[in-house]
Amino acid sequence: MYENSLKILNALRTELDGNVEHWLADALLTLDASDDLQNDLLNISARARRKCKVCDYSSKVPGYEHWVAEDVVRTVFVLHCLKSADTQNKIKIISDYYRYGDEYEKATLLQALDLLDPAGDAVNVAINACRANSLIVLNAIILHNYYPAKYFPELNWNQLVLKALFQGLNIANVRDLEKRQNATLSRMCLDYAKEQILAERTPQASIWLAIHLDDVDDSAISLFEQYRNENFEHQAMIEKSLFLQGKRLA
Amino acid sequence: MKYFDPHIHMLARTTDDYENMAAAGIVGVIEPAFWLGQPRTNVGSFVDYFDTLIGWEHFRAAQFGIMHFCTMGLNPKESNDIEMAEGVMKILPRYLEKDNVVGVGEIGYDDITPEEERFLMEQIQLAIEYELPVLIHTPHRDKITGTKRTIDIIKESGIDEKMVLIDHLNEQTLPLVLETECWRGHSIYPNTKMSEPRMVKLLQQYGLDKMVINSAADWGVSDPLKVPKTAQAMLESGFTPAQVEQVAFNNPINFFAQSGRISIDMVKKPLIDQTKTFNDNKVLRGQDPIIEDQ
Repeated sequence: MYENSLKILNALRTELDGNVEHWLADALLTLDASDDLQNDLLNISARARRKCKVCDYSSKVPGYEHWVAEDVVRTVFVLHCLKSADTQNKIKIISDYYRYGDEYEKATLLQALDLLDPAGDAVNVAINACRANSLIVLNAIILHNYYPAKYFPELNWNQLVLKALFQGLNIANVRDLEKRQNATLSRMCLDYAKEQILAERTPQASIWLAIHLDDVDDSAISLFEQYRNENFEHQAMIEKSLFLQGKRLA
Repeated sequence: MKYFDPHIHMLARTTDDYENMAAAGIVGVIEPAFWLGQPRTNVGSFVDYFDTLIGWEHFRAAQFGIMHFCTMGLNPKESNDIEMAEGVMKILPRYLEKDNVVGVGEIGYDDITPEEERFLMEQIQLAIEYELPVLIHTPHRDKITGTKRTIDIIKESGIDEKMVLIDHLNEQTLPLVLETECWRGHSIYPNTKMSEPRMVKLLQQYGLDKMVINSAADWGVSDPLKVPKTAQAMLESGFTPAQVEQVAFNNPINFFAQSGRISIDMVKKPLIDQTKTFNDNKVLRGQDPIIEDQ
């Protein structure tokens, strides 16, 4: 189940500083000998930041360029605990790590979920994370992350996109946004754009990516036309959206 | 002129706010139970929070000449943690019995999930049982859908629509609520959601019946003086003082008066006595206490 995950993590580990890798290997032995895995995992994980401070890490593994050293070591720790667990315990390990971890540990877990939970069994942890208002947590689950697009039901997917817009995140960085586009999402985003306009605010430029003209009424066309002239960013997003939809404005 | 703010999270505000609110003419507030900014992890957190609303915060407000009431409820965000939500539902009834608790709220939808709907309905049923009015929060995201679903649930529940105040309305959602007998709440924020000029336009367009304004001030960027500021905007646009008093004082109190625990006659500025303590705690830090006579 974890063959692909291990392959990626091993590639990420080869980029770690020697001292950090040495500490990591020792820590894994501690976990192997543990009779209180929940606490030992969290205690070891808590040390990761200080241990990795010395490490000038920059990943070249495609898709993981934004990971830092403690993301790698923490993911290795969690995966190590998951490998020998059954499904129920896997969910518990992931849930407990999320619940008791600090903000950065939560973020690490969320951004690594595609590796840690390739079956999507712990999707409720991710869904719950989208209720947070911490940008550190939200960035991790929403941006550059394939997990939500794979496992979120439509209701939660739509709320994820809307939450991203609400928090000012660029939804051009939501993975598989186009693949999961749906009529309800188009309508929600159009309503939100109009609400922002009523409040005399400029909608976020990337919002147009989540509005498909075939899903909504003609008021969307007027807004596309209007905001195409707003600034370069809006123009770029509108043109990208139209291209993906196979549409042009008059 | 005196004002009443029926939706403000004073736990998140400072004593400076209380002083400024009192100086601006606010004589009473209602603080709805809500979430803390990050998820609670056990029912005990709710117990402590609810106790604070009826205990320390009620005392703290009076120390600055403001009457403090509250509503109790399980907020929509935390309704999605079912085990904890069920635990909160078990403790909620005893808090609904407290004197200063004038309603159930703020409840409603957040992500509009089946779990949120379950606990929204259960709490409306509690409100019916305890004969308390209900304060409903409309979601900040997908607001139109959330408002429509809220109205559907209200109709399905059997509660008298006049016992429900649907809050955080705007130009898109107010027309939906106007088709019901529910009361109409509007939260006036700096820079986002509803503003004073927009609120005045809504009042001019739709009238004053059952219209309520509040600041919904909390730990985020918000202004606890938005009720008097909106009142001022109403006066400047031609509303009479009696009309302003209707929206900024009478309407909110009359809605919650359906609880039998608050009334217009009852809401008066309390006399300040800062020599008092609450469980040996006081609001002063070395200042001379203010003591007001009759």
